[in-house]
Amino acid sequence: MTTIDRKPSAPTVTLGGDDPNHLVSIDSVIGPSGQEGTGLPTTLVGWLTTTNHKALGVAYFVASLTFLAIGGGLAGIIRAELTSPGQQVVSEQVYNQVFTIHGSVMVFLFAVPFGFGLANYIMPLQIGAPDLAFPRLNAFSFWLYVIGGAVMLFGFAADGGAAPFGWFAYPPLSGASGSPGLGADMWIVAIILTGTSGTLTAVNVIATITMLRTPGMTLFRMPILTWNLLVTAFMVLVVFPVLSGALLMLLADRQFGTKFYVPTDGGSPILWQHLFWFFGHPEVYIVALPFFGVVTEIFPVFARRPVFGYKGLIFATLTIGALSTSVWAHHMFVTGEVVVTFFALTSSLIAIPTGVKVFNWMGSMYGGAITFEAPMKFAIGFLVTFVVGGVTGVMLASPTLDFQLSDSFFVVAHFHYVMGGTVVIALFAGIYFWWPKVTGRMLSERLATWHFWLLMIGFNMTFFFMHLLGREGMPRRVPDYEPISNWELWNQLATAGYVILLISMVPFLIAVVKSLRGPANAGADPWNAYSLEWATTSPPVEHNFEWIPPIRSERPVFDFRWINHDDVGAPGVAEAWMAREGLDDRWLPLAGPVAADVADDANAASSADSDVG
Amino acid sequence: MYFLAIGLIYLAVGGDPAGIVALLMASGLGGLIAGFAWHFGRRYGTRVEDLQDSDAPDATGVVGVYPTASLRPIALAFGTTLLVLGVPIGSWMSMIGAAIVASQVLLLVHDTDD
Ligand code: HEM
Ligand SMILES: [Cu+2]
Repeated sequence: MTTIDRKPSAPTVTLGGDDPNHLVSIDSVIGPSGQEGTGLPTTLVGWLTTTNHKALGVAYFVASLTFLAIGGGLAGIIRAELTSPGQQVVSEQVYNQVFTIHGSVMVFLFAVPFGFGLANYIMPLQIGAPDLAFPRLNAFSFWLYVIGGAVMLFGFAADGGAAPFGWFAYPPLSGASGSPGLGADMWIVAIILTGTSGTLTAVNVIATITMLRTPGMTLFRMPILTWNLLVTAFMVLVVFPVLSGALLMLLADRQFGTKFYVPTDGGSPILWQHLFWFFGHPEVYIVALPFFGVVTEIFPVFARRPVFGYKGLIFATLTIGALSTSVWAHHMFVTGEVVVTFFALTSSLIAIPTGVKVFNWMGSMYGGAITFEAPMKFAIGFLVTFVVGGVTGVMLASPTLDFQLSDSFFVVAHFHYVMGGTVVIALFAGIYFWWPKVTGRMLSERLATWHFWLLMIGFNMTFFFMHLLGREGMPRRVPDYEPISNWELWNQLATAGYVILLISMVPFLIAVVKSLRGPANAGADPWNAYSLEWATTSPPVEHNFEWIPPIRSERPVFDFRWINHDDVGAPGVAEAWMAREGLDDRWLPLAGPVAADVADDANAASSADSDVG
Repeated sequence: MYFLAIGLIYLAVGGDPAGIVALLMASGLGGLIAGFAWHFGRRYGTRVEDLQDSDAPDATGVVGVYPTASLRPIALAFGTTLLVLGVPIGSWMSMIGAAIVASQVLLLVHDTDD
């Protein structure tokens, strides 16, 4: 090896010095992880008053997973009731309340807030920011969400029980005479509060991404997850206020006798449907985009390839954001009051950017040296599930089929594949991926494999049979059914699937407990990943970074790991590194022949500079 | 822009009123955001963060001043909840909520003074 050391006084340590291939490990630059503070509070008061983005991020994760457990518990009641024909477990009234709150908890209190958790914890790390732009506003949003969520659940304790009208609350059912109980009002209030919380978080996310990126982190070097969170935030900003407005009108109808949605006095229930779905369809993508971002971070890392079509993915996300806000009325085909062709066309168009994404994900894996660590397993499981859900979705977007299937279990199966499946599976992909970053510890691969297969089997069993039920016309939202054909069998299989889903959580929980008891030895970058969050300690120090590598592409950590190879990674990284000498106390000379080349260039450049000066 | 265009197309194919209003409203919101971004870009010019070849040491000064832990956010959230929940439950609750919100906002402003 011909290392030409031009500086006689250079330290003996060189970047990548011990490694035969000169690969740089982040740990060797920033020192070992796990010694420094985690930035997380240690007392209850600390948690209640924190404004730190990492603490609030963890709080969002914990809160939204708690709501997932609650929503899953309610799903258990639904499944128990449907296991056999007739009514056993709950009355029809209670059944209505249970599926309404199940849907609302899952959509409003679990899926969307988990995305906000990512925006809280991961996003600032990915762009090299020390926190969100408005930390106190952030804390306010979080508590508004949790307290609002509690209000919704306390609806069960109200006189007459919780809201019974389905998660999209169509009037007249949701009006004062349709659902007189206080529980309905509490549902409305809860959604207004969590919606407001979401809007404020969106403002915070947008401000952070526009204002707090570290130097060199241009918009088109941001990781896809950050991009998706940005687009999600814009969508939230456009549609959540519409929902809040619509809900205020509904509340006014109920409390002050206004007639916005009352047909007898010039109001219109269809108005509600428009306003609701103007929010409701984008909501599906508001839920999904962050998780698309999660798997887009994962595929390339475990295929050891750059992400395929970086700008294409961003463009697809932007297109989805734009299109999804103009297709809402396909949910209203059955009302016969909307221009079917217009919405059928725009709804089909949205398949294109979605297809682009699927194509790019596969392209990112194609020809790569793929390994199947836990995050990758779940990410691939997500992809398979998502494609299945997409196919059934395209079937639903065609108006003729929609008329037949709209109120059947087919729809239930479809949106659980798209929303439930993709979200829950991608969620675990994300948990396995970032767990080492957040806790400094790894999760057991062996338990993860159990978790993965049980989850996939349980999930597909639960929802596959719902497709069959739907095709044969089993209606949704009805606790009772006739024991015709295979209905009873299919329902029993679906319930068995649910039990397997529950069991799949056991290995995961064991892994979590085991991991938290072990030593924090994951290191900064256990996956040899790409984006900036892996350039700091695990868990990250108080304000996230004490050192940031040069950023010359969307893969700064990859570039830095390969800095000693001038044909790998983005050009200019080595030059930027050499230019830091004397400015950066973590600076170490490069190893290998490249170092000499770069040093030459850098010398030439600096002498050119001094000529000018 | 985008919503404006879609709104006009929908108008042309004979959509119903509510849909059109929603789309035009959205274009208003979108315009607001775009206008802000444009204004911002004009006022501050290109920032270090957007240069292709800048590096961490190029940024100068304090990265940010971060607020310490504070009881205000959770108290404000609680007050806001009471305020809104009072609408169906009773004005007494709204009043307590309003009182909490007002006091917390005052305290928040007071906190930030120093
Ligand atoms: C734990 C696994 C789950 C099971 C077994 C399950 C089961 C069900 C069933 C059987 C229904 C239909 C009830 C009926 O119409 O009679 C339903 C409705 C619903 N579920 Fe799930 N679900 C699960 C997870 C999820 C997840 C993760 C989400 C969203 C992210 C979700 C969102 C919804 C929504 C929005 C509805 C519609 C409620 C309504 O009709 O108003 N579910 N669920
Ligand atoms: Cu839709």
